Amino acid sequence: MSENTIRDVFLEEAREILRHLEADLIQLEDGDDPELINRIFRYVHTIKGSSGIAGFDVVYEFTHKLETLLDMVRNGKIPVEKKLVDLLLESMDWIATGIYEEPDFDRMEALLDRTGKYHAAGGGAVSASEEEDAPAKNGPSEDKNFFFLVRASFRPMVFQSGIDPLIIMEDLTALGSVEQKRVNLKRLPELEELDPERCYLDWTVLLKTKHPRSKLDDVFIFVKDDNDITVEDITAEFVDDEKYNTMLQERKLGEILLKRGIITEEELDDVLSSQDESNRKLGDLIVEKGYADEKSIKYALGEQSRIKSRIQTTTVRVDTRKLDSLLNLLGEIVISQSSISRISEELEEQHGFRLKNALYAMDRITREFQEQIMAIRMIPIGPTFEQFRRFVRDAAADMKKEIRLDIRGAETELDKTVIEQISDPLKHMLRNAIDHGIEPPDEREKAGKKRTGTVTLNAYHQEGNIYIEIIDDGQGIDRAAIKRKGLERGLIKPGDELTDKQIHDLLFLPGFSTAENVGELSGRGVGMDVVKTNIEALRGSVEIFSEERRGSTIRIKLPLTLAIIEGMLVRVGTNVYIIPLLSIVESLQPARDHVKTVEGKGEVMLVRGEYVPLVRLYEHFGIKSDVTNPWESLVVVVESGSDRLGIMIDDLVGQQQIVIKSLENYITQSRALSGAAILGDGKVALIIDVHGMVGDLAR
Amino acid sequence: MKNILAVDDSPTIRTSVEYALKGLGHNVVQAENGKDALDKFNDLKEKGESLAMCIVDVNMPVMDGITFVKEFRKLDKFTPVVILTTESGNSKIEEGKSAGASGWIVKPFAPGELVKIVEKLVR
Repeated sequence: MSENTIRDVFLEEAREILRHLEADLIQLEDGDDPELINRIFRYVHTIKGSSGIAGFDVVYEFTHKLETLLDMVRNGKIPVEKKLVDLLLESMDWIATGIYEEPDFDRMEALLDRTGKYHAAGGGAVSASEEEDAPAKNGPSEDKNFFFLVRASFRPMVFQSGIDPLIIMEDLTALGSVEQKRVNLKRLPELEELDPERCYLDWTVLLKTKHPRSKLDDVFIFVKDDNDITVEDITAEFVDDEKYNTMLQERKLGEILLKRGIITEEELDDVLSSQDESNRKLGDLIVEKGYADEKSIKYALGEQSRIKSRIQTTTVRVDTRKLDSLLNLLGEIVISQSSISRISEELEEQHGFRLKNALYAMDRITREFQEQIMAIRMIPIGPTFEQFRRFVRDAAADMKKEIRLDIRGAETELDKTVIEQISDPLKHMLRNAIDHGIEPPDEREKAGKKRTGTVTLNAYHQEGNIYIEIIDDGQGIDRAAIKRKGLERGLIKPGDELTDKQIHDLLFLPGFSTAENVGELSGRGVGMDVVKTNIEALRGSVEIFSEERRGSTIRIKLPLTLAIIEGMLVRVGTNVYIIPLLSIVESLQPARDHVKTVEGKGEVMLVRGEYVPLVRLYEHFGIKSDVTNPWESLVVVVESGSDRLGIMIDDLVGQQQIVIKSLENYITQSRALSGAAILGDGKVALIIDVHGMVGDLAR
Repeated sequence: MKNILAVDDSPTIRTSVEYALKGLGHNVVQAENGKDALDKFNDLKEKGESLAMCIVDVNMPVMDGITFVKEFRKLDKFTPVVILTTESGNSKIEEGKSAGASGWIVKPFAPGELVKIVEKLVR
């Protein structure tokens, strides 16, 4: 239904009213009957209300003034005389024309002039526009925050007027964010005395909002008169930091109690004067005098300390090395813990059990502890991404390309060390995307793409890992060209059936570059192999996805934590190695006929219908083991990316949290080791780098 | 869908209330004056339906809005009642509130204003 229908209803209604009005006005000439005047007033009043709704604004304005006049007649301020009735009749005619034909403004002015004279005579000069003051600016302000301290104490019978204070408080809090709030229970009686039809609560809310005060007043419009509602603008206290701080410093307990309406000024004065004599604590005195209960005092004390802590600033700058050493110390705790855990194994049952339980509890705490330290080290990747904007702009200009950098997931948090170490690889990959990925504008146009190419940097968390993606909407990777190059360099053999992934992996081999002309930007020797090594050093991995003509995505996967991991301890002879739990798929004892030797690929074993390379750990590291036949040993199947590997060991020892200690380069050349850990018994165990081991085998 | 009573002697006002609140998915029951409204309220009760809110004009023949609010409050303590007034800031608001009204709306009102006020009182 439309407004036209309302208009139609109004036209019909007005016709009826005007007919009655005319009859009544003529009757008025014969004598003033109060009931008659009332009726006339109501007719005009109704036309006024309806005309406003139906959109007859001029008629509305006019009837509004006429109504004021009639109100004075009704109150006996203006006598009923022929002149008045004439005016009213003429006004009625004008209303009829105004509604059914066109408003005659000249006549309206003349009539209003006469009405105005009566107004003056009646003593109340009322201008029609008075009521409709321009509405206060209600929209939220762009950037300024206001702070309002709102105290709302509702009268007990508030429910009886159909008002639910909770709805009002919800409306209030919907205007911004609640910085502090308190529900005062002081008026709440014991349960047996509680009358469910009464309201006992008051609220104190510190609201941070972009709306001006008028908007808050709107919320309380129906209750502000007969309930105790105060809205105090304390924005200045928050905006002017210096002033705020001094003010806060000086804010004593008494002031807080006063400000929160817990005690009155007189009560405070009283307590302060007796404090001078007794030199006792203010809070105790207030409770003693019965001005407030202990709960309120506690609340105020809490606030006081909150205020204090705000003064003492909420952040500290810490040298990251201190965090590192904190993490190292935690690592030591984890190690000690596992050595105590070992002792608990040796104890007789009763004590051992109790010790183990205590250790479980401690384990929970250390894990939490670790998470907290890690959280401190986490910083958003945004700034790192942002710093590439200039680089992309300049690089694109150099290459005569039009490129836009799109940043997503800037808020994703990464370990500080990771961010520092990921920056260079990212730059390299961006360079690749600009150089090899995005086509020159003309070429893009020909291919039906926008002239401006887009390179996207994206970061997100997923399943305990962090992913960083470099996405371009360029031409995609020319797999044929890579294959050619691979053949040229003897990296692959003619006739090798290669999957897309295997072709992409060629890009990570040292010194591999497909740029036809070695560009300014890419192909400077440090290739994708360096990128890959850097990422693997962070125990991450990197993968390439590409679609011809649509673009490429390089996805880096990084672990959330660096220093402490869940590890599986495995034994080979007298040596213990650690395999990161996240890499392990399963452990099994292979059947004798499932282990085979394949020409050129070495030993493989059948795992769930698929052959995976088998690594005899004792052979790989040149150590002694108890068993040399795979079918008598255990094999841990691990996974790195899409590569699987069976690691042959003697036995599983157990699973525990381990702290990674890095190995200096001179200790090992093997990529199969990523570090070492100190075990509970003080022995050192080497950590197997599954990704590196796969890499080692590929060589 | 909630029942809302629109009480005004002007069909224009009643209809506009109905249109404005239809958008919120409410069912608007129209009544011409206070007495008619009390009858309609009783009708609803007999049908076992509840009333979510009343919107009542002050100036009406037969039974005016203030009297209606007083009478209505004898039957129902907690349902919000909003009075329609053209005399903003006038004693009518006070009179209405002391009779038990929850709030007021100044005529003429934009549909959006009415919707805002109804949302403020009915959840």
